Amino acid sequence: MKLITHNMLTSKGIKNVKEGFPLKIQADEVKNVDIDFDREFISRMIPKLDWNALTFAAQCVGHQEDLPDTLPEGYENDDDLLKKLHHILLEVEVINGCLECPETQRKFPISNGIPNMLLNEDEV
Amino acid sequence: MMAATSTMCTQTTRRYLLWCANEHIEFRLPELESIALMFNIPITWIDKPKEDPYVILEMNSENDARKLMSRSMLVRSCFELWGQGENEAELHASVKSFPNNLMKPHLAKEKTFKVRVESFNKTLSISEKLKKIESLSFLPFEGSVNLKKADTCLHLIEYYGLQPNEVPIIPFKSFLGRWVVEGQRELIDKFSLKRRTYIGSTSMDAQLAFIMSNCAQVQPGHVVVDPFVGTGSILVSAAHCGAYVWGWDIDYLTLHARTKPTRHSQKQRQAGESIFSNLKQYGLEHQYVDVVVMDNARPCWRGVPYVDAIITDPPYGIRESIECVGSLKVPKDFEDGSKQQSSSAHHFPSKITYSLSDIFRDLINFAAIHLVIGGRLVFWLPVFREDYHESMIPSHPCLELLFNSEQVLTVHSSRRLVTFCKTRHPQEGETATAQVTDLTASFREKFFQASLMTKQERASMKSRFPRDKRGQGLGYRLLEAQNNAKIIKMDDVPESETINRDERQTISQEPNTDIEDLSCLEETAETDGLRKVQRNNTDSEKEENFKDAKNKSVTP
Repeated sequence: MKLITHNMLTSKGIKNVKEGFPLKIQADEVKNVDIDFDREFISRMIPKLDWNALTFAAQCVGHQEDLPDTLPEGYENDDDLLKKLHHILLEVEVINGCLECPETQRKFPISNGIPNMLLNEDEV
Repeated sequence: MMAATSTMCTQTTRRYLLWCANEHIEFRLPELESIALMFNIPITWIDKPKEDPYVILEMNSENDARKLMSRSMLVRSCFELWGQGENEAELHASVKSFPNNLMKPHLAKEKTFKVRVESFNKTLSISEKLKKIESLSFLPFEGSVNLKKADTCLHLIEYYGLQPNEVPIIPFKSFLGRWVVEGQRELIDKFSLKRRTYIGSTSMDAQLAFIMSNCAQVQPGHVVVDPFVGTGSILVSAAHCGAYVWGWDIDYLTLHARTKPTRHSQKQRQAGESIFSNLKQYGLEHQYVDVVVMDNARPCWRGVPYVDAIITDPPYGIRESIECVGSLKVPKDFEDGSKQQSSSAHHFPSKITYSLSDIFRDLINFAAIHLVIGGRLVFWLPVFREDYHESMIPSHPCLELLFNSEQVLTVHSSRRLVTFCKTRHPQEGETATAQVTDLTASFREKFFQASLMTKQERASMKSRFPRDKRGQGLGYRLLEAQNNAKIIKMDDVPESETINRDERQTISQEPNTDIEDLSCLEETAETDGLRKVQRNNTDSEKEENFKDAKNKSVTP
């Protein structure tokens, strides 16, 4: 699971969970992969991200990479920042571990890089 | 619609002849219009796509034509149209009226050229072809001939109709065009499922997957998702068009490539099989983002519009089951053990039937929330052809229906490729307002009912819903055929099945009756007295049997 996916995932499907976001990452195995830098794609995705969730996720997997606390203005022209974001969003992959619901502490396992967000029949 | 209204062939616009593949006829218009709009290419239809494989349109420049062809899966080749006619004289006159200043540069001294004669639905001998080439000698050729690598390739194209058994002596139509560029038909072989690393029982055919990506206007840097990802065959085409792809599916085993192999020759899944490896196979691994095990009845995505296109093929409940998490048990059964169960990593939740109408309702509501404005939703809707009416296409106030084309699957059922465009964000309380008819839900039931059809009924259905020899639907002929043909209500189908059963019962009850004779009676026309009498006697029984059959087909 890449951190860009984490930024979009919630546990709001669980009964009585309101936000379910951001999910806490417990990373047992993290892998770095090489992905071609696509400036345009990263710039397009940034406005859709939840910045707090991103810094939280980066912290969880130990890739803080001195991200600023808030998204700075004029990020489109800041190549360093874009490359850093590219790395954190697309190149850091959680292979094994789990995602934890912030409200119920329900854990969603990640295995072989694939999160399992299925709820049990008693939770829906 | 999107192009200038001028139909005159002026200096600024040129006419192009598109020679389309002789299949997926109904998909030509949606594909070409989507690509043209995506690249902002103004096009004017001169001869809209129809039964024959030739389409004529006007574009501003050859550059536009190349762009259009850079994505088209359904066009074989694109030509600059120099002339056309229903006979040789007409063709020649038409070519002669083609502006000289457009023709001359391509036939100038420094250009090499060749002329090819191509015929559709007829094989011409070399001497016939030579004769036809010689008839073009009135053209102002100045350059020299080069058969291997010519600068200018002129194609004389002759159309001898679609009926292989009724080939006319003189072609219905002839065209003369200068070859410009090929379409993307070569991708069909390059991306063929035959050599795909990881496939399942319902992997999307490469050609159709690309047509879907075209209808969805997928462009580099787009976010494309497939909520019923399966083995990821649709993501492959979207990634090839430059999109970053996500996929999810309820089936844990499919995403982890642990299902039974569907290839005839394969006994076990190989270690490298996965959706990721499918993309990697074509060098598209940089476009892969993630796949997630998720239930579409309860998607876990944050409600922000970040998706440029949703392209998917939901399960129909025929070859792939339709399921969502749930239980038919009374909830109190879980009370004690629930905590324990939830925390177990290896618990597979029990699943219940996810009705087809719910699948589409959830999909459309998801699209209304998560698509960007102008983003497209492209999916297949299975329909029972007898029931189909345009009102069966689901709707949502934030989504505009753009295209809807049929691919025939069997005598009685087909699937329709539906393309929606999101026009605005939903307001408060509008997020879950998708309209889906109950007929959608009954598709599966009817599909299995129809498999009980008798030979005659099958045959009469065939004549009502014509298909060409490749099994393609002929939508443009459908209306006509429906009006002319005898209408048979599908409700009769299980009825006749039960009659057969009744007859068999009679056989066993009356051992003296000649079995062979009875089986003949079954085959003969309805005028048979015996059969009629039995019908009347067992009317109430039939109804009951019918209900039974219905119930059976619902439970998996």
